Amino acid sequence: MKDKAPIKPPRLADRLFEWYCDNAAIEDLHGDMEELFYSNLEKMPLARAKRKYWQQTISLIFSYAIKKRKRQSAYPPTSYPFSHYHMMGHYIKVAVRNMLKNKIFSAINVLGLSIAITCCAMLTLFIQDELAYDRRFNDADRIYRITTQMIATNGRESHLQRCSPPIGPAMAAEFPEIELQTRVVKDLSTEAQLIKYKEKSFYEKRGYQVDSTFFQMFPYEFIEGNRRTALKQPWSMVISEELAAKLFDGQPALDQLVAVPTNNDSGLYKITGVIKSSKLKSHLDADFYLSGLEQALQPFTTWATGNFVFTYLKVKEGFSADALLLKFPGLMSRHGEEENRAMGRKKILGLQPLSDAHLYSRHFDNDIELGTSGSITYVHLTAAIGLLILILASINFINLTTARASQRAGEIGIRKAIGAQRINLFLQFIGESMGIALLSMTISFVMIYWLLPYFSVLVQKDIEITSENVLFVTGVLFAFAFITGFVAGIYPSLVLSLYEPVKILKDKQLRLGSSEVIRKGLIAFQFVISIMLISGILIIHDQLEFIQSKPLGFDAMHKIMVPLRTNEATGKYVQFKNAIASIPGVEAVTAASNSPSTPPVNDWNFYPAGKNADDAVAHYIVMVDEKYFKLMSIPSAAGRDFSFPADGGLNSPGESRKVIVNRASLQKMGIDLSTAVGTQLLFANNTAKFEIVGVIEDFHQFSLHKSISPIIFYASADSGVFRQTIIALNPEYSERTLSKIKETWVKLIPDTPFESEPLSASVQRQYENDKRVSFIITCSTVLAIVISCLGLYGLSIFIAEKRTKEIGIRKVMGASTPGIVALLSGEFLKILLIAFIIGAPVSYFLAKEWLSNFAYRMNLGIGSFLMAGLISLLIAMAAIAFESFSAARLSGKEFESGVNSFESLIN
Amino acid sequence: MKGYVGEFEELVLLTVASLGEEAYGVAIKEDIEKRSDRAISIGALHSTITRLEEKNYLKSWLGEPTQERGGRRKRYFELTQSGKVALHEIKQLRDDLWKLSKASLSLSK
Repeated sequence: MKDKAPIKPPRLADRLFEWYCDNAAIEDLHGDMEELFYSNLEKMPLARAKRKYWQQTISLIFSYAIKKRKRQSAYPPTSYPFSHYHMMGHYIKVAVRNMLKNKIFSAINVLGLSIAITCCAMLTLFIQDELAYDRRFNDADRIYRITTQMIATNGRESHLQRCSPPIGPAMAAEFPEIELQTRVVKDLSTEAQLIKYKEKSFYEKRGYQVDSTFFQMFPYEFIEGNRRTALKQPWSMVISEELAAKLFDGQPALDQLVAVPTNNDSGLYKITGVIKSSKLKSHLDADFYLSGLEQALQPFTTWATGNFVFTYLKVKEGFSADALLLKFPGLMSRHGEEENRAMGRKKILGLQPLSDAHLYSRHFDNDIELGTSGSITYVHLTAAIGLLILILASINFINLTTARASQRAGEIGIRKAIGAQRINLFLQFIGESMGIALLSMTISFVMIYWLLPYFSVLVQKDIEITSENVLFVTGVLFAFAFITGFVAGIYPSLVLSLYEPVKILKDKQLRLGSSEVIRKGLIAFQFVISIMLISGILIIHDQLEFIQSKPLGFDAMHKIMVPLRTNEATGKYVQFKNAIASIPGVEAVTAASNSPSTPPVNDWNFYPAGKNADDAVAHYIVMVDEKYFKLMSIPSAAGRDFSFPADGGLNSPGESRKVIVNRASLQKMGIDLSTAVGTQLLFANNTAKFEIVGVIEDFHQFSLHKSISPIIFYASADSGVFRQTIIALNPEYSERTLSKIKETWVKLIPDTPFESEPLSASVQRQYENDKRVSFIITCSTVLAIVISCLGLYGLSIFIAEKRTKEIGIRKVMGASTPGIVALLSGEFLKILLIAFIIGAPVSYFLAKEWLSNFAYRMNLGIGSFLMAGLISLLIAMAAIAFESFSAARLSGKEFESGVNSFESLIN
Repeated sequence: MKGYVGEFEELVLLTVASLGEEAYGVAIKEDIEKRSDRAISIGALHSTITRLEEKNYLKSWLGEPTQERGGRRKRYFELTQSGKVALHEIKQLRDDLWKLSKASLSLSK
């Protein structure tokens, strides 16, 4: 005999044989085979003996002997199907009894899952709504929007989703692969436009002027009028169903005349169509579309500037946009290249697919966009939050179910002893978890029904359950319930069905070694998520606080803004100003083209005399009335304020226009503050000259997301350029002051409705989005923490129960209550520490990412993370301590049982 | 005659009888192989044994565990009374036939 590992028959063949024979009595056959194998070994080489063994095995498998013995076996598997409907009722009964027996565990499971499913379903609705944008149009995949990229000589880049007016039509004429082009213009000077019909007059925010080809490219459904001809004539107007209802109260809208007075004209438009409202969304949805853009854009012939036109191209079938894109540089080299170079920049055109317009437009400069633009980042964030919450709830489920398994040890043992297969137990347990998930789903349905309106407001959408999407919602709920039920159920089911009946019945308890480790891992994971979310909200809160407290460089207190949205209003501005100046409570009145928080449009480049156009710096232009800086409390850094009326215009040809710049402008142009006053500026595009008469300290014209940009101010004697009246009020002003101002307006400017908003409110509005994100994250954090706490609470109950005897013994031996609490919670604290070590760096990285959105950001210390760790600790302690304490303060029976156990231990 | 007994069945029954106390799977297989000079598979052997048990010609019992078979027990076989009767009947039939055809079966020329 050789001293090697003993030679054995092929294992695989053995396995196959045993598996095939299942419960049949085959011991003797198996023995025969093994004996033959060893006797063969003496006659032939090992390989052949093994081959023989295989042959024997297979011959046996097909033999009548096995067939017969299987038929005779004690519980033949063939008579025992995997799913047996007659056991269904029994399983349901057992499941219900189990749930009722452990009311707290069941409640935690069901509640956690329903919160998670509700949350996920609502977030899914939100994401679905966001992704559905612009997919309603036929051939949407062939429609593109022209984008503009400007590269200044100094390297500064800007991206616009608009282009110059003549580009669209020229491309359509030149490139045969373009089927159609259409242009859209939004009045950039005002947020809302006045609509007047008979005695009705109100502001509408969503209205565009469009090319006559607009409805050819975007085939909205018309309920009145003809889609093809609606915009053929100038002065035509197509309106939404809602606006039609608002204007005409159900009367036919066609051929009615509606006035849309703007700062430029006050024309009457004829209604030529009404669009059916739809749940399908587009960034081009509006309340009214005005025709005549072709005529209005006729005077704009330059290819270099005036990038205010949204231009859409439809590429012919079979042509690719990439090929078209290659032709753009050639076209641009023939048009406006000189002009652009003179302004020290290069202009590159690009194409953006229509379906990207809604979610992928955040990188474009300035906030001008058609419709409300979403952000793919938020979509990802939302999906991540939903997933996290679902995972947390699943973890609870897994932990509580495996922890509770010991209570079902007896059941599992007996089931196995009377013949249940592993698969039967698996199906029973996974069925139970599916059942719990479905129960949670039912609760979710009710929760969604109640919560969706609030959620809709929160995310600023009109998501609701209608007859159209009720199937979708139900489908989503079912899907989430099934996924969670399955994911959360699979592990416990596998573990529970694994145990050997003898061991369970003997110990009446499950020894769950590996599942203990997994449970700790899952708890650690929950802690990691909690720490990340808590530090996230702390940082967001701190940053918003930081922004709020940052000096803006002007005084927003006690200022009222009154927008001037029509010719009538700008024309009567001076009269209005003079009339309200005498109202008690009014300190001063001024006006500007753009107040802080109403952003100007950028397109103008200046450079100081003595340098050349390559050094031109882009400036925002703000035109102001007298006393603007004084009223806004913007301090002067050098030079003087404007003097009126002298600086308000040009008194003689060739004279320089007097301007005031901010410090950022000097810095960018490389002018020293001491020599700034008197410096001549040249406008890159033409010969007009400007002279700096004053420099003001920097202030935040834009939100703190942006750093301070160069701004050039000039005084205007013509009130036609003003868009905002700014009224400074005495701190002791009363409601009467406001009503007097309104009265004066109504008397002087009767055809334009009066609007007003505190400047501070308008400034705050810039951070609405951040606050919303902050609120959504706070809500989900609270949910996530609630779910994790439920799980922790459940687990601590379980652990305390399990260790009752141990605690009893410890108390007998003289352990103190705090000592036992420390013992019971110590394990969790260790896990928490590990989670902190993992979670803190990850959230630090994420916080850095988020903060990079802000030009002004707070210092990111480790304070927030320590705080988050501490809060998690406190919350975890609160969840655990309650049960630990009641366990530690055992008395009476438990105590006795402890003593008994102790006695049995020493005996 | 009660039932039909095939050639191989007869061989198995006779081998079981000849092995006496030691009639179990491998022994039967090896004995038949040695005497008849033919290879038989264990599957075929046990199929036959099972049918013989069904016909009530064989009975079996399990022995004590033995070490060389991985601790597995042997199943021993023994002829039943009806098995013996069946063998006798076959033998009787053959003997009669042999007697009748003695002349024609003679091997000598």
